[in-house]
Amino acid sequence: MVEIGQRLQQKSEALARKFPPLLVAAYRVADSVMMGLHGRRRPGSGETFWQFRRYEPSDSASLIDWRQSAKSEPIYVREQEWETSQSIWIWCDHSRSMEFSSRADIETKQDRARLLALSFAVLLLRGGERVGLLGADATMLKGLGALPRMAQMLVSGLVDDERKGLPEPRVLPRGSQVVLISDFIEPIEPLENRIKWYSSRGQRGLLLQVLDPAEVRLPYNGRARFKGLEGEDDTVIGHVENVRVDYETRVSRHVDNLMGLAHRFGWSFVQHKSDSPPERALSELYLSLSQEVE
Amino acid sequence: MISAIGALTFAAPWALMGFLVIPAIWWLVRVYPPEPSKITFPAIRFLVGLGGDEASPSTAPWWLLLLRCFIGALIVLSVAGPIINSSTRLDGTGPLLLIVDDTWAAAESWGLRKQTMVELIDAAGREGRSILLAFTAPTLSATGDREFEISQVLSPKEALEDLELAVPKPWRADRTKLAEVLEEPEMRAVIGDNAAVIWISDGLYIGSPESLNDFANDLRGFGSLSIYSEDLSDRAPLLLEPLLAGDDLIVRALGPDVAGAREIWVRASAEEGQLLGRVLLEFKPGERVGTGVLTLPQEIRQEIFRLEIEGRASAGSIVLLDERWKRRSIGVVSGGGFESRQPLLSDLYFVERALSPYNEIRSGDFDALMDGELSVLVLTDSGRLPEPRRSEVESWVEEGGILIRFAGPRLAAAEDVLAPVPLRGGAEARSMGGAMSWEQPMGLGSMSENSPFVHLEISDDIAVNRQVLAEPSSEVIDRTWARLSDGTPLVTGAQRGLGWIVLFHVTANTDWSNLPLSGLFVDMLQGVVKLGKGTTATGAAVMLSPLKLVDGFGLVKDNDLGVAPLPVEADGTVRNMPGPSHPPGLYGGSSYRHALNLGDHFEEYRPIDPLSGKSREALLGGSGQTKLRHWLLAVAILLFVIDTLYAWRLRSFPGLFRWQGGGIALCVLICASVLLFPASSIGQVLELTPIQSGVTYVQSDEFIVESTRDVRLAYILTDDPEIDVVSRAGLIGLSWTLRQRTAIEPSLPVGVRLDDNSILLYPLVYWPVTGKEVSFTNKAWENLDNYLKVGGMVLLDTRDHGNGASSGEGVSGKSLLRQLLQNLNPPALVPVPDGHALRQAFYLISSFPGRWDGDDVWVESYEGDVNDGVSSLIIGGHDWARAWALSPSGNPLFPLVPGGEPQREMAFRFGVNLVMYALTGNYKADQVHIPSILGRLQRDGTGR
Repeated sequence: MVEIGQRLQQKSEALARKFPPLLVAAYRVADSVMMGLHGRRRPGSGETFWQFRRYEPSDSASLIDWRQSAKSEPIYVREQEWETSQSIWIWCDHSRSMEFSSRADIETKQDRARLLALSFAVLLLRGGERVGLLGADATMLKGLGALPRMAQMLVSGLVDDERKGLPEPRVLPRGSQVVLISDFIEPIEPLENRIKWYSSRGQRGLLLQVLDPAEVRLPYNGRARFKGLEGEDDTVIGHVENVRVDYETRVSRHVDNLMGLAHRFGWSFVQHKSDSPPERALSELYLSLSQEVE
Repeated sequence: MISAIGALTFAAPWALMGFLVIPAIWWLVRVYPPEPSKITFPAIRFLVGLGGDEASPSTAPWWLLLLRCFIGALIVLSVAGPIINSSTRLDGTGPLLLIVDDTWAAAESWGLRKQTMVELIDAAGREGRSILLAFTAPTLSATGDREFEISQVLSPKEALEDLELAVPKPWRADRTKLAEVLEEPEMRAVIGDNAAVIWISDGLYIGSPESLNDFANDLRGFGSLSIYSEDLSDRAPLLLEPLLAGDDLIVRALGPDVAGAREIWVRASAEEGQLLGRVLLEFKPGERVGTGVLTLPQEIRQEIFRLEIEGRASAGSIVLLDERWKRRSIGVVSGGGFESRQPLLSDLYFVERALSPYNEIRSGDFDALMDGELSVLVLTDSGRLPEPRRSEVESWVEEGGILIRFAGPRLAAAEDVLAPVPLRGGAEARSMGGAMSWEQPMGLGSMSENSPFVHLEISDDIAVNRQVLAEPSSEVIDRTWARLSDGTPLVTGAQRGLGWIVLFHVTANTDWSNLPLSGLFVDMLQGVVKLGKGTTATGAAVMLSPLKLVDGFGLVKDNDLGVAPLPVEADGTVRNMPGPSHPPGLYGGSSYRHALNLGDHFEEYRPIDPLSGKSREALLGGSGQTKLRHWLLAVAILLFVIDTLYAWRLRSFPGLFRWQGGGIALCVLICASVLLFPASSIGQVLELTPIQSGVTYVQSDEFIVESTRDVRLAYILTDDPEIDVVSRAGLIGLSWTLRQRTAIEPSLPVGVRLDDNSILLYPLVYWPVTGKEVSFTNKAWENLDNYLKVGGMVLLDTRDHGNGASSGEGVSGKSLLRQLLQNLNPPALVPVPDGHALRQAFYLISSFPGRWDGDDVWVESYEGDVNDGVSSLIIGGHDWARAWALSPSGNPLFPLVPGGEPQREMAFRFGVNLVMYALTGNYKADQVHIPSILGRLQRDGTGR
């Protein structure tokens, strides 16, 4: 028992070590994306001031801005900017294939995916949206104060999720959005089923594919024995350089399939390579999702 | 030599069977090609089936196949032990007969000879032949006869053992005799007539060329003859006996050959080995003897004990000098008056001229002369000596002095016992050829047989006008060394005790005779002077026992038993050649020594020219035999490493190769920075020597030498590792500061334990008090006491800001002080007084801060002559080590209270002063008085 306790402690310490940098990085990435993006630009229920307009009989008297009205004849009503509170469900792939980076100076796909997920969550939470994690417990989180907990859940998510390559189907509130972050290198059919399942329940969403550059370009040479991360059989290839073109064709076909799948269900698809800056992916993500919202 | 490369032999040919393995390697490499590199790859799904046709094991690349087979072949080859150029194919079928010159000349390249012989013996072993060793230098048998070392029939192993024991002898070879011994029937039966005869020659001989040829012919009688010798110009030179020429020593050496550039340096050293002088010998073209002139001051030349050729190791390259080369000191006293002070008239002029080239002439006051050491005293025309002087001179003669007197008017008038023969009392000197005389000036008659003049040639042109006559008696005839033509004595001499009294019956100037003008006069005086100290004059040959002996390699050793005394003839010559019965060396006792040198006797050494007749000649060690095993093995290992690296690369150790470029650059950078900025960190300034942390109990000489080669500060190791670390860091910081600021360049500090006495090796010991000192053993206190008594210095640090030792209250300080007082009896302690050397040894400082400040530091009160007034103990509580402690990067480790960094600077200044004080004592305190001394001088000067 003592041993297990120690192991747990070690593990949690390792996780805790990882967690603050993740959060900090997420803030940093999110900050760089917030610049230049705008709000909904229409009146609605919100907290920020939007405009004054003439009082109409249907308006409640409590809405009248007396100070503004005292300046001139008409009576003005103060309108706030419309702020919806979307609920967004993020899922981050914890399968073993994510724990890969081809070079020491590139972070693993797993780390990149978590970073993106968290910084996306930062953005959303700052915008007042509610964010939830698929695969973790079902509570929605609101407000920036929830971030540490979210980071915690992201990092320890692998424990809950049992490293499955797909989010488990869960009944989500209507109108909420789903963001799936994964490398999506598994066969496409299960994913299609899952997307179909969500779409049929009125959810729309976004696929963010995180790939290592090596997975795109296959930069190896000579005779090599390839080993999978999820218990696949080894493959020996005599001259890797000879199969590179074939490989690239296969991968691009797969990506095309993924795109097609997303479009078919009205979802967005974003591809991200782990050697490019995360800000780019995040702004793409943010844009496509805010378009969705509008 | 291309032809020689063909001569490849193997030490273990059977190992070549290992080549059978190579096809197996070929097969193995083909069957098991190198592992493919392993790549972990998540997107393996897309790869499946892509390279399907190549998934089966591919063949190894052809070059890898070759490389591995080559490695295998190399290993097999190296096990077989190939030897290139093994010259050693022995002639004949019989045993190998090795004739070895184990003479002084062979010592020169004995290693090379041995190597050659080992190779030959190896070859004999390979060919399954037995071996006979015969040495040409004779030895002494148990019965005292000369004999030769000729071995039994030996196996190679035994032969190597015998060879290991053989050493060159410090004398010459007697090859003719050896040949006679070998010719004896029983030897001939053993050797047969088809042996391989190999003569390891020293390349030199004495005697006729015919005898040498005879020897070679005799050897050819046993089989085909090969002669190994070194190159002509490499043969041993022989240092000859030096000649005295005035003040100079003419050093001569016999080169082996006329031709060839030779540069021979000869060094002169004293008996204890001090180098006194060096001289380069010059060889004139076409001459085998090179000479050099060694000019040294008189006193130093007397010290010369041996001459040796630099860089040579043989008995022939060393000459020992005995009294024969020492100039005797001769005192001259004139009895003449003022007129004799004029040159040419002076009665000392001719004597001095005759003696001075070979001797040291002293003149002056009689008493002063007798006080110094004299071998010979010359008195010219002095009358009877006053009584105390007379007996003084008499006893000096009895002890071995030589008194040479010259006649003259005063002597003729006096009656004197200091004369070899009784003189005709009170008589006038006999004059011849004068105006009042009918006699003609007398010529020289004859030299007596038993006189030192016996070898001198009599010249006709000597004319004697006046002489003093001896009272006729029987002993006059015996004592007369030189006679005039009428038989009256010209020179008489008599032994008195150990010394001699010699009288020239004429004056030392030209008043009475023209003898002083002749060359004979010089020879006669020399002959007399040579009587001094040692040489026996008449009859008595002596036996001198050996004192020091020279071995074959030219090392001077004390006599070992078994060497017979050396007979020395009456005239000081030695008939014996250096040989087995009398090895070269120094013979004699404390009073007289005779050096027997090879260079005295073998001046006619000649190099052996190529012999007539059929024989093979080869250079020693010139077979160029190279064993290839190590080289092959090295190449195999190198290739193996390359192969392994290749395999690694295949298996993708990315780090290894990705960092290669950067790694090399980093290495270069580090090396460059170390080289360019050696003073950039403390660790490099204080070079790391074997004694690092100092806890060594080994008291070997090596340790002591290493410890004292540089100045090292020391600290006492407590059992508290933290304190030790601080002490060490502190002393490192102080050492570094000393290097930066002063001429003291200490090495790394050393920790010492008081239990052993290594503390004695260090000038200053820092002692942080822990309070555990009560448990010190008596031995420790003894060591400490001893250290302080012989002038060591201890900085005692109670580290407690003066709450202890200095005010006498702290616990640790108190107990320690009590211990100290009990065990060490230190003198009274006082706070460092004004003007104390500690305040001004380097910096002028007024306080002695460490980590703390403001408290007194105590030293022993000044007690005049004890240890020159330098305090052995310095006691304080400022925790100096912490103030001095620097990290390896040079940053201070501890904050200082209350003064901060200025205080640290003052602490370092105190440290510098302290070390200066320990190393220079009160030197600076003396300087302090200079202004007052100068002031006093000035006052005295003006006051007068």
